[in-house]
Parts: sequence; C-alpha cells; structure tokens
Amino acid sequence: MPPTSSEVSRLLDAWSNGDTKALDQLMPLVADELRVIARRLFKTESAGHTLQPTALVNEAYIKLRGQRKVQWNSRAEFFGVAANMIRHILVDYARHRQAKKRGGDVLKIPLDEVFALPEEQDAGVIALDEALKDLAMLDPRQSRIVELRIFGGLKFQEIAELEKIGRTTVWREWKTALPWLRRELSRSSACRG
Amino acid sequence: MAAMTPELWKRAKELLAAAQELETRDRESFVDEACQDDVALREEVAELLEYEEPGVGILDIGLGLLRPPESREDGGLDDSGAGSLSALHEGQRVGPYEVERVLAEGGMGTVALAVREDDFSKQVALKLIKPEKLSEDLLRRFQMERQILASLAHPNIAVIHDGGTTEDGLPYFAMEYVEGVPIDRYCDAGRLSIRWRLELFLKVCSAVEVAHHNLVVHRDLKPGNILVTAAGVPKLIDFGIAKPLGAELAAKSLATAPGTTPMTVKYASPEQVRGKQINTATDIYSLGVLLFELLTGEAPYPLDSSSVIELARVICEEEPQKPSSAIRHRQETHSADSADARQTAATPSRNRRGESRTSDTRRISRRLAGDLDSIVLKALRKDRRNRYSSVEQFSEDIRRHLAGLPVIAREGTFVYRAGKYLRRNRRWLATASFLLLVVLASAMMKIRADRQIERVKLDNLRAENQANMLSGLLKNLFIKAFNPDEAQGGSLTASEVLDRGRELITADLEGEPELLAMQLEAMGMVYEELGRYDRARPLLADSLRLRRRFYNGDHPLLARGLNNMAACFYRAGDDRRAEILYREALWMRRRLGQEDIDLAKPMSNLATILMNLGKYEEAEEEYRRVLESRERVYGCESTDVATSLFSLGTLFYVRGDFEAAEAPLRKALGIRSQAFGPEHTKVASARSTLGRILHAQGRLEEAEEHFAAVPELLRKRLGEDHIQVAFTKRDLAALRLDQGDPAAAELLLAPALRVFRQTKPEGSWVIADAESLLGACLTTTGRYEEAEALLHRSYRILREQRSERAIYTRKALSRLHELYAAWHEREAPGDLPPNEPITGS
Repeated sequence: MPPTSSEVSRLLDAWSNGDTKALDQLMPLVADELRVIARRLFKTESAGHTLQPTALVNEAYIKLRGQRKVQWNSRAEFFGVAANMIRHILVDYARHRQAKKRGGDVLKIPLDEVFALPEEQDAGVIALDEALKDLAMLDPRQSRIVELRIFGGLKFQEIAELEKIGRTTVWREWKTALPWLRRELSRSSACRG
Repeated sequence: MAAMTPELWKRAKELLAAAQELETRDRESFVDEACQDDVALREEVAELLEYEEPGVGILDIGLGLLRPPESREDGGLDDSGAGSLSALHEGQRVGPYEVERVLAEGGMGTVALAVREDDFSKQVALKLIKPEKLSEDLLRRFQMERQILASLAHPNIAVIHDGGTTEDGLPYFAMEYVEGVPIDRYCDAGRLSIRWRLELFLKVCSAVEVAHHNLVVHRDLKPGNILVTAAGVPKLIDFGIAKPLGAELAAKSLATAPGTTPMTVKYASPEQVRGKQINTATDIYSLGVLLFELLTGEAPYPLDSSSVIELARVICEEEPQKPSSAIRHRQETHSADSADARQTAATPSRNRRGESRTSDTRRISRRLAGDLDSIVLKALRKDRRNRYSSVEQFSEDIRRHLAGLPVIAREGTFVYRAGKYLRRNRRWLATASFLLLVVLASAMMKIRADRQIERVKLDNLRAENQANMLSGLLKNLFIKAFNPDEAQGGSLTASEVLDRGRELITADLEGEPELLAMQLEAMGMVYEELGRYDRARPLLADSLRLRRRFYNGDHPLLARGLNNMAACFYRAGDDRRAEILYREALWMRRRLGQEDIDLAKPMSNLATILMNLGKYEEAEEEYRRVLESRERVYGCESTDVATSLFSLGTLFYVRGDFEAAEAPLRKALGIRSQAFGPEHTKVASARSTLGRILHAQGRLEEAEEHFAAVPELLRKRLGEDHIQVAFTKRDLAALRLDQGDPAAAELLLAPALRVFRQTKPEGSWVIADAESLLGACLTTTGRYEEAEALLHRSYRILREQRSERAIYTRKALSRLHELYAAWHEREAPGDLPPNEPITGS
C-alpha cells in the first residue's frame, strides 16, 4: 500500500505544526519508500557502491512530496526523520545479522540487504547506537546532532536550522561528541575482547 | 565514568571545546588551571583530549561511508551553507522559469531542467550557482561561462537563452536543454562502427574548433560534457571551467592558481595536472583521450589508482598504449572476466561465442593499427609542441584517414617510436641510443642553421634537395634502426645503428661530398657524445678531409669541422692534437669575421688545453681574452664571467700561484651564489676550489669551512657516488692529512678513489692524483713499501699528463721526497728530480 504524496505531505505538515502523532504515522511510510528507492539505486549503481544517505533521502523526499512546492522547514524536518530511520534500519539489521550468526532467531525483521553495511561493521554499528543512547542520557540534543550528521548526512547548516541553534554551536557539539564517542566505542570493543 | 552526569558532562564539554581551540602543547596547562582542584573533571577532559585524533573505529572509518559526500575530513565549518537542494528544488521559480527537476550537481553549480512559465513545452537547462559555494571567483567564472556560451554559436554547442538573478540574488542562466546521453554511452549503446565514431568525433572537433577560434579553451572535455541527442547530434554543454585565451581577459578574469583548477583527472593533460599554462593544446590532449576511449572503450593509461599524485605521475610520465594494443589487451582481460558491463563496437556482444569475439577484436585491432594509432597518440603527446598544432589539423588528419590519404601523424613517428622503444629498454645502450637521437637532432638543427648561411652560395633548389635527402636518410636510418621488427633480437645497439648508418650514408651519398661530410660529422658527434672517441675520430677526420678538399680556403663548415675534430681530441684527452686543431679553427673563424665572444667556448677549451700542457702564460692570455669579452658583452656579474674567473683562478692554483688564485675564485663564488642560490652544484664546485686554494695557502681552518659546506649539498643533489662528491671527499682527505689525521684521510679517500676508478679511464691523472695522496697517507703511517709503488706510478702519470709545473705533479714529487725522508732503509732513486718548494709561486 504505497503512500500517496498528499498523505505524506499532510503528515509532514501536521508534524511541523506540532502534531507529534503524525510522526509515528509518517515513519513507516517513509521507511518503506526509502527501501524501495534504495533497492532501485542499488540496481542501477554498480555493485560495491555504498549507500549514500543524502542521495537516498533526497530521492525519497522528492518522491514523497511530489510536485508540491515546499518550504525549507519541513524539508529539514523530513531529513531529521529520515536520519533517525536510517539509524534504526541499520542497527536493526546489524542486530539481526549478528543474532543469526549466533544461531538464534531472536529477531525476525524483514530487512533489505541494501541497507546493510559490511558485516564486519555490525558490531560497530550496534556499539555506536548504544553510545549514542548513552550520550542522549547526558545530552539529548548533542546525540541528535550526531545522529543527523552521521545517519542523515546533514550539513552543519542544515542541522543548525533544524535544531534552531547556531551553526557554531552545532560545530562545537559535534567536535566534543567525537572524542566522547570514540572513547565509549573503544571501551565497548575492549569489553568484547 | 560511573559518576558521569549531565551536569558534569556539560562542564566537561565546555572545557573540551575550549581546549580544542588551543594548540596541543597549551592544552594540558589550560585544563589544569581551569579545573583547579576538581580532579574528576580534569581527568575526564584530559582523557577525552586523548581521543581527539580520528582513530580506526567505526566512527572514523566505517561511517565514512555515511558521511555526506562533500564533507571535509575535519568536518570543519567550511562544510557549511544550505544543502545542495536549497539551491534548486522542483517547483521553484527562477526568473521566467519553473524548475522541474535537478539534472546534475557540479562543483560550482546545479543544473536543473526547467520550463518557461508561459510556455510549458519549452524546456531549458537552468544553471545556478550553489549558494554555499558563492565566492567572487566563482561568480566571475560563472559569468564568464555565460559570456563564452553566448559568444559561441555552433550547432554542436548548447545555445544560451538568457540569464539573470534569482530572488535570493544568485545568478543563473538558461541554456538549451540537451536531451541526450554522454557520447561514450551513445557509441556503446548503438554499437557504432569505427567510422561512425570518427564522424561523431569530428563534429565534436568542429565545436571545439569554434571555441578555439573565439579564443576559448574548454579545459574539461569529457564524455559527460558531450551529450548526443536522439538525432545523433553531439553537443558540448559545459564550459564551466573554460578559459578565454585573450591575454587581457585572462589576466583579469582568471587568476586560476595552479592546483585549484577544477578538472577531470582522467582527461587532464600533463600540463594541466602540473598546473602549468593551459592553451588549445590542452583541449587537443583531452580530445585525444576521448577518441582513445571511443575507439577502444579503454583509457590510454591504467588510471585505477586512487592517489592523485600517482595519477598525475602516470599522466605526465607513462606512455599511452596504442589503441590497437589496448583493444587486444582488453580482449585478453575481458575474455577471462565477462562481468564488465560496458560494451563497445570494439568488443562485440558478450553473448557471442569466444572465438568470434577474438576474431572481431583482431579485426578491430587491425583497423586501428597504423593511422588511427598514430593519430590518437599524436594528440596524446606529453609535450604539447608535439601534438597537433590545432584541432583543425587533428580533424583534418582523421578526414584524411577516412579518405584513405596518408596522415600527418605518421610523419616523423620514427623518432617517436625510437624514443618509446628506447624507453622500454632501459639498458645503457638504450640511454646511449637516446643520446644519439638527441645529438643527431641537434646536429641536424645546426646543419640547417649553417645552411641558411650557405644559401648565398648554393642554388636554393639544390639546397632544398639536399636537405630533403638528408632528412630522408636520417629517417631511413632510424626506421631501420629502431623498428623493433627489423632489429634482430629486439635490441639494436647504438654502435650497430651507427655502423648501418655509415654503410647507408656512403652508399647513398656518392658524389655529394658536402652532404657526406655533414653526415659523417653528425655521426661522429654522436659517437663523441657516447664517449666513443675511438669511433668518433675517423668519422670526423673523414668529414674534415672531405671538406678540406671541397672548400678552398676559409669556410664556416670547414672551420666547424676543425672545431669538432679539436673538441673530439680534447675530450679524448689528446691535448697536443687538440691544441693544433683548435688554433687552426680559431684563426679561420676569426678570419671569417667571428669575434672573441662568439669563440668563447673554443677559446676556453684551448686555454684549458694550454694549462694542461703547462703553457700557463698562453693559457692565461687566452682566459683573459675570454673574460674581457664576456665582461664587455654580458656584464661583470654574469655567470659566464664567473666561469672565466673560475678557470683563471684554477689556472693560478695549478701553477702554484695561490695568492693570486684567491680573488677570482671568491668573485666567481659570489656571482654564482647570487645567480644560482647557495645550493647549486656550480656554487659547490667554486667552494671546493676556493677551499683547495686556502688549504694550499696553509689556511686550513678557512679551507675546512668551505669544504664542510659542500658535501652535504652535493650529496643531496647528485647522490653519493657522483664524481663531484668524490672530489670533495678527496679534498677533505688532503686537509685531514695535513691536520695530522691520516686515518681519517684514508677513510675519506677510499670511497673517492673507488668512484674515480669506476668513472675515469685507467691511467687518468685524476686517479693518479688521488693515489698520490693515498701514498702520502701511507707514508705518514709507515707503510712505506705500498706508498713507494703508488707514489712512483702516480708521479709518472701526472708528469706525462699534466706537465712538470702543475701543482699536482709537484705535489706528487714532493710526496716522493717525503717518503724517502721518512724511510731510512731506502734511498731516493738517483733520477728523481730535486724537490721544489710548493708554497708561493
């Protein structure tokens, strides 16, 4: 059941107007669309090409919004949603694959191969997700900035506009998050031995 | 970090951010001070600072995959501005246009498909500057592209409609929307024949031609910028980095710093990757790459490296393969690996059977061999002077090929082929042969220059005929010599080449003594250049004999023959014969009206010969004449004057006049340092000689200062085993011995002597001089027997080669005396000349 453009537009508008429930409805629609697009991109691009979230989200956005003229705000917010979604998709898939490797079938999420990072990065993706969750406990906005940057491929200016903060602040948050995350990641890999 | 709380993190983060702004070395003290006695905070920040550098974890490596494509490594603030979509998005209105969709994002702008609001059927390609890239320079380039496109009206160049500024103040222009595919894909998809591909390519050439006529260089010719419409019309669409050639325009508008020029490396010419001056030849090169690809589906070089430096090296140094071999090569690789998606006319359908593919490949390879190979390679020459001189010439050659006429590209390919053949065979013979080529070429040029003078005397037509014959001969010779198919065993030595040449020449030039003389002379000079004086001499002598017979009395060519012969003897070390011939040559050239300044080189050589022969007064006179004429013509501070001063100082030193030697050497050193900078080898040699002079004056410390500055400099420039480096070691060894450290002297001398023995012929005075020094070391350490043999031999050689009066000979003699003075068991032989004091003149 492909979502109609108008439906997505309505949800997006509702969401930008403060209706948080709209987001819950929006997510699965967009996720489906992302998968479709990603699959197509991977068919046309040569094998071994890595997933470019920006390209992916761009496509999804254009597709979902149809020909309608849109304002910057909702577009940025859309990217925000997409970033979060891509993170979930990647992490879920990594967990799924790890679980499968261990012989269990804990998760049965039908995921598209196209979203997968190389298998050896599964542990890293999961650890990064955990670290971001930990960071969110300390500073939710900072965690969000990293998410937008890494999983959404957003530029600093875009993040600034989305979060309604200065670009320099975004930059500083990003720069200070990196060492923190690196440390957490090195700890988690040390724990795994 | 169990105790980590949002509050603690907030403070830690602030300190971390502040510390990140500081230099690494200041960070620790800053953190210490800022935290005062808050140990937990300090430890936290200090620890985090250790994770400042990117590591190998997923954050820095794995997720590189997920970074935005344009993000900088440091993720700095320059990665800023609105996203690319903010420049253009569908539905957006730009002037009278409405954007339908983004077509492409280039380095500086976005191209979108748009329609006119008042006429939806009219599609245009809208080009806009990306707001985040906006800069004065970009704005200039953008406006320039607009201007350029407007000035170029050609069916194969996209037409510009209009332009203006968006509501946000960004400039844009609208041009013809070319609904087409890149030319390479077009050719492959249609499996076009070679002829079709060439026809298509010719149309591209005609577009580039028009640009060049309008003094515009495209600089970025590549398939992506050449779209072919469904009607089969190729169109040049992007002049984004094009450059106007007009001097006044270029200076003002395009101060493109080397290295900052955006371009596509695959199609970039050597001059482009080197950041050198760009001209129309640059486009010819890119067209060459394009043609190569269209014909073969391959790049001229394997450009699979990801390193820009490596790519640049390949482009600047590696010879492209022939298109015809590229096809064969492609066949070989691809028959093993059929996964390649690209198809060209050259590689027939993947569905067909292997045999037919092989035969098709052979057929195409044969089709490309010869003309097309030559045409493509001529466009791809590293040195742009060797490429086609214009796009017209390039396309004309293709047309000639299509019409079955002989092509320009194959003229003169023998030299090129020879060069390539030589480069493949990196043996010394190859090097020698290459030298031979160079020398022959320059000899040819000299001959032609002289021929200009000759014209007065010679009937023009006859001169023309002779010149043609001559070049025909040379060509013949080289085709025979360097064609690997004709050279047995694939490797022809330089001597073999010349031997064949001699046969050819004498057979072909019966009754043409002038020409025969020239040919013999040219060949003789080649041998001379190769260091084969034994072979050079008879050739030069024959040439000279012919000329003596042919020209009655003075003649420039006869004078030149004498000069060449003299130079040959000089370089072979036969000073006596060289002196006679140089004198004759110089007299004749003076009678023919040449001035001292024209004769500076042979006069200097004569002076050196006179010095070697111990005729110091005459040598000085000759050197001074050269010096005076150079001072008069080039000025007192010129490097030529420095050369003369250097020679004069050396002469004074050799004759033992150490006080007089110092001033000219210091002056020469000054001029050379000024002219070449302190690191030049010519500065080093002046320093060495000055050091020797000071050493001879007994000013050991000053000498050492000069010596000390030299070896490092030379080693860096020339390598450890260069003879000049060996000279400095010898000089320092001599100094060490006089400082009373024979062990150090011997250590320095041993490697120097090894180099001399490797590079100089047996019995050379240079070796003798060093051996004499070694003998002195041996005397000092009491190894008299060894010393005696060495000292006698070196004294004998030096006396023969450098006259009794030369400093070297006198030193060798005094070392012999020192030996017998120290060695009580042995008496000096009765015929040993008495010792002369060396200090003073």
